[in-house]
Amino acid sequence: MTVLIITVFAIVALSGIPIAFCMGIVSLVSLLAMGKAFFLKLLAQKMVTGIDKFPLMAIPLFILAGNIMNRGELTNHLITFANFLVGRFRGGLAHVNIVTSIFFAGITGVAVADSSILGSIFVPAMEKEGYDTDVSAAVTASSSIIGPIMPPSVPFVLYGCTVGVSIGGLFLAGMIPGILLGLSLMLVSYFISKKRNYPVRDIHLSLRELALSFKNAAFALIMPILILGGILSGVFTPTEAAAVAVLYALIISLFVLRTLKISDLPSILVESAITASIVLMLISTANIFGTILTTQQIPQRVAHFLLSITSNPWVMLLLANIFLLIAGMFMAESPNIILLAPILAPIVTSLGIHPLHFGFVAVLNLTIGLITPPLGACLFILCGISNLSLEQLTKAILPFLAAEIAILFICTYLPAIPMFLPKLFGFG
Amino acid sequence: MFETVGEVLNNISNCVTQWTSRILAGLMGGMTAVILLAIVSRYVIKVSVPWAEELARYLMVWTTFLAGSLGLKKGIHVGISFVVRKIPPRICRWVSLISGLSLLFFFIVVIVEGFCFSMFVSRQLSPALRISMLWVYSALPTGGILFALFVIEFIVADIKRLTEKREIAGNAQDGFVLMEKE
Repeated sequence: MTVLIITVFAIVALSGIPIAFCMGIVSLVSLLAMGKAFFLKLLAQKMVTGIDKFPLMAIPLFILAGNIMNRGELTNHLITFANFLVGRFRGGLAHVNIVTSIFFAGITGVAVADSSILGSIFVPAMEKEGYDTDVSAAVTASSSIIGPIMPPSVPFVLYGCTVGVSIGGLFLAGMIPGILLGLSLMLVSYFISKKRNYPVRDIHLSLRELALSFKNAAFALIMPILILGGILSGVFTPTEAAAVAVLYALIISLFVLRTLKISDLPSILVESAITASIVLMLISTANIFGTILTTQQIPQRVAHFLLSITSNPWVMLLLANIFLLIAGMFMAESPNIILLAPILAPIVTSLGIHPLHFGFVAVLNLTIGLITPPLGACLFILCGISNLSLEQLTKAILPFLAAEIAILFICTYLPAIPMFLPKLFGFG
Repeated sequence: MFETVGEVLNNISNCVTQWTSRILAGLMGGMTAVILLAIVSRYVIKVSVPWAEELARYLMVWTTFLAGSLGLKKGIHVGISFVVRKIPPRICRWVSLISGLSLLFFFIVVIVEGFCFSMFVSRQLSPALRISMLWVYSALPTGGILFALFVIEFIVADIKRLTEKREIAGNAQDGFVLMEKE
């Protein structure tokens, strides 16, 4: 039976059927193979109950809030402000790109959105200032994964819901490492810029311009504070915080910045619903698939196998990291979180690793998967924007990737870094 | 023959897409509004709205299956594409056709089982709203019908291309199997 499940899954998945439906088809085949037609009732029930969960609603709402904020000139104000902060250093635009990504984290929380929006702005701008195309695209791709690491973040909500750890705690865990990721990328771009002699820019900003850009950038920067503050003070649940973020984004873009018209709303709502359905459909079918895996005791067998290799928590973390990095090379992060996290998390935490710490490490690891060749989604997006081949971009992104994997291992083996803020707020 | 079938299907699917989009905007907006209403009434009027969470959840169930089907049409669901990317377009068409048929089989089961289960729970009432659970579970067969419609569209397109003698320029990108877009 186990062999049947794995073979069917491999064939169906490799034939290009989206993972959400693969899990459905494999579940259907297994239920039929079990030979009891009654079990098919399970299919309908599990597909609905899987998504009939209040915490999951934070996902469509955060996506909606991000999409509302994205319309309009907010991005430009963020860039002007980032330019003032870091534009003066060598490789200025590369740094501005990275810092804008950190600011952007408060808006989107979806890496692919980040890389397509910022890529279409920064890649041409950097080329114009004499940066090589491959470096420009590599900086954008590697910095776009900071978005999902800092709150609000869709993958953290997904992890929190599937594994059952505090979403607020995960948000806090991502704060410091998110900034560290940004700093490490800036360091790499500094060295590359020095080697390739990229320009140092003169920043001429009048006080008036600066004040304006700061004021407008602040609207975007307040959002994560509003969300985190609301969750941590116990005023809102994460889902409610997401709804408040939608309201905030609406007020800002409809009345303050006036970049949005009421008539734009329906299309934004539909677009956000479709984007959210990618994750929600996965959760829906994963709910049946998970039940079938459990009836075959597959998670237990994986656990038994892994625990027979080592019972040292730090070696186990290394194994988990390597396993997830490889999985991340071939599959997108959401299906990986849904399929692998519920299997790995209990094993690792049973060895004494804090559930929040592992949750953070797993999400960071799988997010890095978005920019690892051969199948990183952000790489494809930037190849599209910059007309580079995957090989060219892969070569350019390697130093940035190395820096990010270094941060991953630092966060894995120095739990104090991701866990400092959660401990401070009583999640430890 | 496939020309006309394809055209009719296209028209139906475009019309369905338009209406589904309208309904989706309402569902998504309603979901947000209900949660905001619950927060406002809790902190401003100091009355908790017991059915708000439930209603929002049910709206999300409907949103998921309706939006999921539009996602399939747009080809944005995540899948593994590096194998189909490598194989020649002619074989890719066959793979796409077989994938389409197996998806169709899955969706038919979803429609039938979803319908049976909706009927099965129709006398059960939801805890807070006191509405029949039929209203919730019927999202699954309804979504299933949309999914099936869009898959049939792909299947017809695949058959059409396979029956054509000359090789169509371009690759299988317009089928639903290559989905690494987002």
